[in-house]
Formats: sequence, C-alpha cells, structure tokens
Amino acid sequence: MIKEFFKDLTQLDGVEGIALISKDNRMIDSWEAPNFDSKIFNEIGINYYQIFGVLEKSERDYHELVIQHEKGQIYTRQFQELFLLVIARMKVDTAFIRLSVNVVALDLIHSKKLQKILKKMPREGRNYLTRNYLDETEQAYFKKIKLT
Amino acid sequence: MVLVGNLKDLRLANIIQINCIERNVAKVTVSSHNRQGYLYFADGQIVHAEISPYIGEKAVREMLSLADGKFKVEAGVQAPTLTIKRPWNSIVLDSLREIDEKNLQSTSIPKQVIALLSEYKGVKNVGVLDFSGKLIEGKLSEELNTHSLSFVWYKIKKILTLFYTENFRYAYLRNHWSHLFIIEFQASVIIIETDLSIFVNDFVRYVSRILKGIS
Amino acid sequence: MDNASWSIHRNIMTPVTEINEEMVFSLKKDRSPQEVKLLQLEWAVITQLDGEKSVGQIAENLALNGKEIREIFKKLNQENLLEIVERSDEDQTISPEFFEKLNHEMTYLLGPVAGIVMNDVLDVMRKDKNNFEKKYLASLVDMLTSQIDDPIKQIEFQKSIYKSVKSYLF
Repeated sequence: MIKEFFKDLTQLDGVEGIALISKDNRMIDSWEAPNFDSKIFNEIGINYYQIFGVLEKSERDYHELVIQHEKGQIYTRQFQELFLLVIARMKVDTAFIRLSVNVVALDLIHSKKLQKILKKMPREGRNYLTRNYLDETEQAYFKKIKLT
Repeated sequence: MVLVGNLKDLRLANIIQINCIERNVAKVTVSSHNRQGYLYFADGQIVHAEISPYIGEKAVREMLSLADGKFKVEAGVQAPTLTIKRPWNSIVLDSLREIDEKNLQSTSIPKQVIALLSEYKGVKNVGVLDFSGKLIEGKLSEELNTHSLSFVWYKIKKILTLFYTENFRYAYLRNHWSHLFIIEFQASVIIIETDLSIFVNDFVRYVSRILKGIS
Repeated sequence: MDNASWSIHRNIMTPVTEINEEMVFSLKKDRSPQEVKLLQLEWAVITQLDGEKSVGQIAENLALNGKEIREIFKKLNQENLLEIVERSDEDQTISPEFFEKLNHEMTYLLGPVAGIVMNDVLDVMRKDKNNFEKKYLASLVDMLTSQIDDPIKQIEFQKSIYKSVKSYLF
C-alpha cells in the first residue's frame, strides 16, 4: 500500500522509513530504506495513540505531529483508524512530506484495499491510556490531567 | 567481547540506549575520579546498577550525572541481582531531568522574551511550563491543558529514545488552522500557539536566536 | 570525461570565493581539523559537517546569524579544510512559468485577490519570485494552501500543483 500511495516519498532521498499503523497498534504496511532498522515501528505506535488521545480533550483536532531532532525528523499524520509515520533525515522538506500525504490521503482512506485489511484485523479496542500501558511518570501526569 | 571508551566520546545515556534497544546481555563498568560503577542489562532493560553508596535507580542517576570518565562494556555478563524494575527510558529521562533541574540555575525566561516571541506575526500565545505541567510564565489558551502538554513533551522524548537521542530541536502539532510549537529550553518547555501564516523555518530560527541570547 | 560529469567535477574543484547559505560542504579527507587551531564555535560547525546540511541549516542548528556563519565557513575554507558538495546555481530556482501556473491556480480558487495573497506569502517568507529557491517550494504551496478556506479546494489546489512541485524536487 505504501509503495502504491506514497511511491514518491519512497523515492525521495533522505526518507528512511514509512509505516501505516492501526490504532490497535498493528502494522498495516511498512517500507524502509536499506540500513534502516524497522524494529522502531513496533515500539512507536502506542506513543502516538497516547499523545493524540490525551489531546483529544482540548478539542483542537490536531492531526499532525512533527518532531525535529538532532538526527532527523519524524512526521506523523493521524487518520480516524490509523497513523501514518514518515521517518526522514533533516534535509527532507517537511512541507513536501505533508503535500505528498495530502494529495493521496482521501484516496488512501477510502481505498478498498485498506478497508479490507482493516476489516480483517482483529479489533481488540485496547485503550492505551490505562495503567497497564503507562509508566509511573505517565500515570502521574494522567492523574493531574484527569483532575483538571 | 569487551569495548572500552571515553564518556566524552559516547555518552552514558547513549550506551544505555544501545544496550537496551539491542536487548544485549551486558555489563557496563563506569570509572570516574576513583569511583567505579556498574550497570547490568538484559531483555531490553537495565536490571541492576550500583555505584557506592547507591544501588538501583539512584545508582543509574548518579552515573548519568558524571561529567567525565571511562566506560567498559562486557557482553554476555549476567547481573548478580535484579534491583531495577522500571522501563529504562523512563529512568533515563527522569534522571536527566533531575540532573538538569539540579545543575541549571533555573534561568527563568524573562518576560521581555515572552513579549518578543508574542510580537512575532502569527503568534497567538506563549507559555512556559515546567516538567510537571505547571505554567510558570506567559499564557496559553484555556482549552489547552498544561499537564497534557507536559505529558506530550515527555512522550516525545520517549519516542526519541528509540532513535538514540532524547534531545529534540523542536516539535509542533498542527490542525487545520494552527500550529502548537513545543520547544525545550533547559529544564522547561516553551509552548507557542501560532496560526498557519508563519514560515516555520524562519520562525524556528528566530526562536533559537532569542533563546541563545538568554543562555 | 563527458560534459555532465566534467560540470559536476568542476563544481567541486572550483575554488570557493563567496559563501552563501545554500552551499553544502564536507570535510576534506586529506586534511585534519586537528592540524589547525580552531575556536569552539568553529569546532561546533565542524561537527555539523556531514555533506548534507547546508550552511544555512548549520547556522540554524547552532543559532548563528548569517554573518557569523559566513565568517566561520570563510575561515575553515581558507584553512583548506572544506570541499564543496553542492552549489547553488540557477537550476536551484523556480522558473517564472511555474509562478504563472501557481497564480493561475490560485486565481481560479480565490479570484482576483490571488495576486495579493501570493505577494503576502512571499513577504512572510522574505523571498522574491524572481529568485525563489526550489527548496522552499513545498513550503510556499503549504502556506498558499492555508489561505484557501474550503478544505476541498485546498486538496484541489495541492493536487493541481503537485506534479510541478515534484518535477523540481526529483
């Protein structure tokens, strides 16, 4: 699916990995450049569920998170049923990643292929904002968030 | 297999990250100014640490606070005991935060700086939060829960530990009408709400210059 | 050596006389920075040299202004530590035809105010359409998109311009 919808990003010099992850933290599809460690995708999904989940209350409807760090950038777009992650070097223009995603987003979400995959996935409806999935520091934040 | 090096070339936080992410069984010996400490790794976690007079998490924090020294990594060495249960990235992040808060004279961000940032065309609100989520300077929109924002800051740093770093230059959230910038500054975080008219590259450069001026 | 490869080779071999922020440098392999007495900031710049980051990006990372970064690169270049990887030239700027297309699309969606909106965005970016570097193209499209209220028209605009943007970047 990634090679079909995000072909341009897979060919862009500096893009290292792309993943589609369901909100149940299951990998829908992934692509990585040679020498990129895709194990990162297994660990990263829950964090985004938690970030966007916590921000839902603000009613700001944030759909995108960009993190620029000393080694590159992580671009994340939230859709109703999944997250799209793009991991890239600093030299890749974030605005181009956004543009590439925008032009295919609707086609992707409504694609029969994606719908089929999501239908086949077991829906466990896990809530990653519960004690089991939060470390102690996160639980402490959560208590304060709930109280305010 | 033994690997030796200097903590100036490879930070202890990075050594911890590498051994945890690669799920190594290993012992790391840290030597600094006649002190010697040990960290043990297994199954993707730190399982034991000791540096006199500390054991467990306190020992990890103590070793992370060492400014210089040498390290030795020995693969395959099992821990003599298990004294640490919390996830490694939580321990490292909390320790580094405590070290930051202890070392830095909490350089508060002057009101003039908040004013300068607020004057930038397209900026709506500027607020400064401490690690716990308390608003210590400036103001933010009422709908934004400051504890949620500090939670997001913590989560971002946790994500970055997967990339062998915990330092981010900046991050921003975006919706259809605004950005929300999250910029770390010493032991606090600056939250800046803007509309979409700003040119992100220029804006971030502007903020960096102002913050460089303070520090 | 054919014309194309000679052109690339010439770019690297031609001595650098002026530093501009689009240039990309790497360290020369046959000379070590340790042979030269460098200040702390100059060392900081050296650590940023990876053959990918431009002078401007390094300035941003180290919170240096244009003058400061050019002085440092000038010195490092004079000490024969650097070799240029990429050079800014006319191929790096956007053609007037593209701006006509952009204006046409914006006018279709926004009406006669399109020209004013375009100029406002260029003002905010502090760029000139006669010398607009291609690396800012996607940001320009992004900022113009945010001036369109209707989300469906936003996508329409981006789709209509995407192929042209892509052709500049690939």
